[in-house]
Order: sequence, then C-alpha cells, then structure tokens
Amino acid sequence: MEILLALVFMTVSGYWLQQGLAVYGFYVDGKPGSGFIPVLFSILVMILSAIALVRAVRTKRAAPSKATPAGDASPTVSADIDSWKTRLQPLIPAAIAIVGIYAITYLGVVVAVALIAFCWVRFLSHYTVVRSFLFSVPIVLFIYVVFVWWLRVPFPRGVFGF
Amino acid sequence: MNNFELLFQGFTVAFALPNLIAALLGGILGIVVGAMPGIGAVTGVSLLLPMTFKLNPTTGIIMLAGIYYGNMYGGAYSATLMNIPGDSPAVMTALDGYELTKQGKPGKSLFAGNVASFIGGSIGIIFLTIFGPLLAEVGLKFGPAEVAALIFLALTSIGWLLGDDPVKGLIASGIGVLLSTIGIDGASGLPRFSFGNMNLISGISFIPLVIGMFGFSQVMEMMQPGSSTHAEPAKRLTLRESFLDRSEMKRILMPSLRSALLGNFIGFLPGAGGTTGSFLAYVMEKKVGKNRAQMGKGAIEGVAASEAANNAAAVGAFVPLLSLGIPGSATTAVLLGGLMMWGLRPGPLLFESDPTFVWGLISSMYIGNLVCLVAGMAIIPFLMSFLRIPTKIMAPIIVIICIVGSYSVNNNMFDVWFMIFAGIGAFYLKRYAFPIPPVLLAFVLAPRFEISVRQALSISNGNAMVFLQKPIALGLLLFTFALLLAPVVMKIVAKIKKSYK
Repeated sequence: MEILLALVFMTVSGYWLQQGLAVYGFYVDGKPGSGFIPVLFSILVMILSAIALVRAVRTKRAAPSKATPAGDASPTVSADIDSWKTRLQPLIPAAIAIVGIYAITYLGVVVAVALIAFCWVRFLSHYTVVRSFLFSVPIVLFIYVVFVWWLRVPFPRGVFGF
Repeated sequence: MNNFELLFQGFTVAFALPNLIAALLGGILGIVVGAMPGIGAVTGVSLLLPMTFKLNPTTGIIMLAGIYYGNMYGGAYSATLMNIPGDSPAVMTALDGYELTKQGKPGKSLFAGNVASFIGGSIGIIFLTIFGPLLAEVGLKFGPAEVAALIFLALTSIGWLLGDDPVKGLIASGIGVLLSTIGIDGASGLPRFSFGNMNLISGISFIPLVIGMFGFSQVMEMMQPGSSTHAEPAKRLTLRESFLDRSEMKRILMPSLRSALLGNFIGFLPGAGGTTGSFLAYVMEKKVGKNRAQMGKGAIEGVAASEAANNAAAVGAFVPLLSLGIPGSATTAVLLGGLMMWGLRPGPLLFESDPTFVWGLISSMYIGNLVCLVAGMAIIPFLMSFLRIPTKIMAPIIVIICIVGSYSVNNNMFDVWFMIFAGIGAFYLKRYAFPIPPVLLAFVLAPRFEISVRQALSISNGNAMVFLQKPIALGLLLFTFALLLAPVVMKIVAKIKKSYK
C-alpha cells in the first residue's frame, strides 16, 4: 500500500508539473506565471515520492529475510490486520455519509439526521429501539435549533417540506 | 492627551452598561460558535454580524470584537475534545490538546489553553494600547519579499517538524500546497486544476477539508476493530482535577509569554494571520522549550504556545486594521466591512478623528478578554461531560456534525462529498505514517506565499535576487537555512567529537 501511495503521489505531481508547464506557464513575459508554484512544488513532491518509493520497495524486499520463527504470533496479527473486515469496517462511516447526502436531499435535514442517528445506534451500536429513539431526538433538536433555526443554513427541504 | 489618558477615557465608554452587556454577550456567543466544529472565526463573525445592526456603531463593534475574541477561545475546545479544529489556527492546538484528552487530562488542556489565550490576548492589547500606530508602520515594512520569506520559513519547517519521518512530512506539505493551487489563480484570475468541475473553480474550502481530515478520519479510526482512538475517560472528571497546579502554571508561563510576543508581531503583518502565528510559536517552543521532547505527545506547553500566539495575533491584526485600514486576516476583513457599514473609515486618521470609538473599542478588549477567560473556565465542566459519551454514540454524533458542518460552509453538497473524500484520504495517509497537520497548514499558508513570491518577482521584473537584496527577507532566509542545516551540522559535530574521543 505504501508503494501504491508513493506512485499515486508521483502521478498526481506529474500531472501538476505537466499542466503547470504546458497549460499555465512557468514564466510568462519574464514574470512568474500561474504554473510557477505548481511546477516548483510538484517537482519537490515527485523527488520526495521517489525517495519514499525506493524506501518502501527496499523495506518490502527486506521483509522476508526478517521472517519470524515458527510459532511467533506476528504472522497471525499481520493476517488479521489485512483481513477484509479490518479493511472495510472503517469505510462504514463513509457509506453512511453518502447515504446521508441523498437522505438530506430527498427527505430534508430533520428526517435524514433522525434516520442516520437512529439506524446507527440501533444497528451498529446495538442499542435497544427505545434507547436509540431517545438518543436520536436530542441530536435532531440540536441540529435543528443551531443550524436551521439560529444560523439559518438553507438545507434542502425534501419531500416533507422541512 | 497620551495613550493612557485616552484609554482611561475609553474605559468610561466601555463600562457603559449597553457596551458592557455587548462585550459579555459577544464573548459568550463567540465561544459557543467557535467551539462548534466547522463554523470557525470568519463564518462565526459573519453569521453574527447582523445581530449588531440594531446597535449604535461603538456598541456594535464592541460586540463584534467580543465575538471575534470568543471565537479564538472557542476554536480550541473542539480541537481538544474531538480532534476537530474549529479553524486553522487551532490545528496546532489539536496536536497536544487531543493527546492530553486521550491521556484523561482534557480539563488541564482546556485550562492551559484558556490561561494562555488570556495571556496572549492581554499582551496583544497592551501592545495595541502603547504602540498601536507605531507598530503598524513596522508591519508595513514587510513587503511581498519579506512576507514570502516569512511564510517560506513556516512552510519548510512544517514537514520535518511534525511527524517522525521528514520525507513523509515534506510530501504532506507538498500535497497541501498542490491542493491550494486548485481554483482561481489570485494573480491572473484564471481557473487552475479545476478538472472541468464548476465547484472546484472557486477552490477547495478549508473547513470541509479540515473536518474531513481530522473529524471524519477520526470516526473511521474509531470503527477499526480494537481501536482506542476516542478519548473516553474511565472515570468522571472533576473541575478540581482540571486546575493547573503551581508547577504547571510555571510550565506554561514562559511559553505563553514568548509565543504571545511572536504571535502579536505576526498579527501586525498584513495577511500573515493567526495560523502563521500559532504555527511559528509551536515551532519555536519545540526548538527552545524546556519540555520540547514531549511536544506533540501531550505537552501543556504545546497547547499554551499555540493558543497564546493565536490570540495575540488576533489582537495584533487590529493594528493594521485600525491604523492603516488593512485587514490582517479574513476575519478582520469582515470586521472592516462592519466598520465601513457604520461610516467609519479605518486609517491613520481614525485615531484622531474618532478617538471615542477607537479607545472605547480598545478598552472593551480588556473587558472582553477577561469575560472570555471567566466564561471559558465556567463551561469547562460542561465540555468535559461531553467526553463521557461512549464511542458507540460519539461516532454518529461526529459524522452528523461533519455532514451538517461541511454543508453549512457554502450551502453546497459538493463540500460534503469533498469532506468524505478528504476523510478517506487522511485515514489511509495516517495509516502509513503520513502526518496530516502539514497538509492543512501548507494548504492555508500556500496561497499567501504564492501571491507574495509572484508579487516580489513581478516588482523586480523577474529578478530572484530581490529576496537577497532586502535585509529582512535575507535575514529570514538565512534563519530558515540555519534551521534546516542545524540537525545535519549537529550530527557532523557529534561524529567529529566521537572520533576525537
């Protein structure tokens, strides 16, 4: 993954470098152009990413030689870290937030916040229905009073009109 | 009349009951708004600006100043308790503040932050009282070349100072700079790197970025099996446990004083602002502080340095605002709008043409600073009770605040999408030991750096020697290279010493 990150950084900075030189201009009419800072910093990021890449490759190559003796717990821990559950579980908030975006757009902020809070506490935190309901009410009230009523943030009203 | 007589006269204005109430109300509202993740000082002051419309100019501006002040105090609370900096200057506070919270000392962190904010604010006001117009002239000596050199000092030290790996730290800083180039180019007015997306033409908003990178990635970490990210105290914390004892007060006194002086000076410079101030103060503390080894691991000195500098810079920004009509930060730009709405024209003549207003405002700052200290202390027990909420409930609260807070910035769902994207990116960066604060700090500082560099080069017809011909810029550049080379030189010296032995 570290190798992948370094490659992503190199690609992104490469794009910035190309655009900075070819499209925006590094020096235009003897003065720095719009691409001046992007070019300088993309070169810096490319060099540093290359260093990070070399280091990551070396670490990966050296890893098998440092293999732990039989019976050591490390391989099991490593396998656990790389398991799909560990990889996907942190993405649950992102999935819920994406659902939240559509819920706010189509149902309005009050209903959407109530649903997110209730469903999370009920199904992810495994609280009872009553406790989940009791928890979601103050959250909705807080969001409504502060953001809708006091700060007058114009949220989408959704099908219910609020 | 000298400045002190004028100040005394100002106190008679500030102590008028409506003005006193305005300062009190402004301070409390500012703390509340500043403590809310995603609102920040600029948005807070802008949102509360209409509240002052029905007041007379002096009372209105006194209330606005109170709101501005309170915001600076409040920004540290969400950074300390939830690791979500309310605004860019609080990014540095989160580094040690949240570590202290994880160690079960949130009260100590909040208390240290409050006291340091008070010290920083007080020093700033005293300097404003004594040297106001004079300091504004010093600030004006910082042209584009000098400002560029100052921000270059901040940018270069960000990467290798934060985090364990300088290469990864510098990559993070570079990514922050590249992200800041998305949107309209300030010098030419042309859009850059917008990928044909309308929402990116105006650039990336800082608040969704910071909410995603700090708050949302935090929840993602909470969701990992066996995570211990959320600072959930094992026992109920009392207010008494939050008070700093004599030795702790001693520990934060010097960092607060030197950071306040530095922050106040940075505040005088047009455009430099509280973020540069709090960052450079943190850097200074990490270099010269007695407890520098603990910085970033939960040192109250780190919280004190950042908060004192931030508040001192906030007051310092009033110097160019009042004496030259130049706003030192985005928030003071909103205040400038407020001043102009009431027909006041900030500039060198304001001190002479409207002394009642100017000195009433300055004296109300003394009161506002005290109000914020007391109000800040009073709400610490309430804030700490927030930490008793278990992780299972805290996670959805943070996610909902992240969504609603990001949307509120521009009333645009694109910001929410971007916040999620930034959160996922930060989560994986953190997982592979890339520090996040350099991304945000570089993102904030880079636009000002770019404008200053390009202005300096344009003025000199593209001659890069302009940075070496200006004494202040040259001094700052030499200092930057000395700082960069210091670790290498020290290593060589240590090797030579070892070989002699």
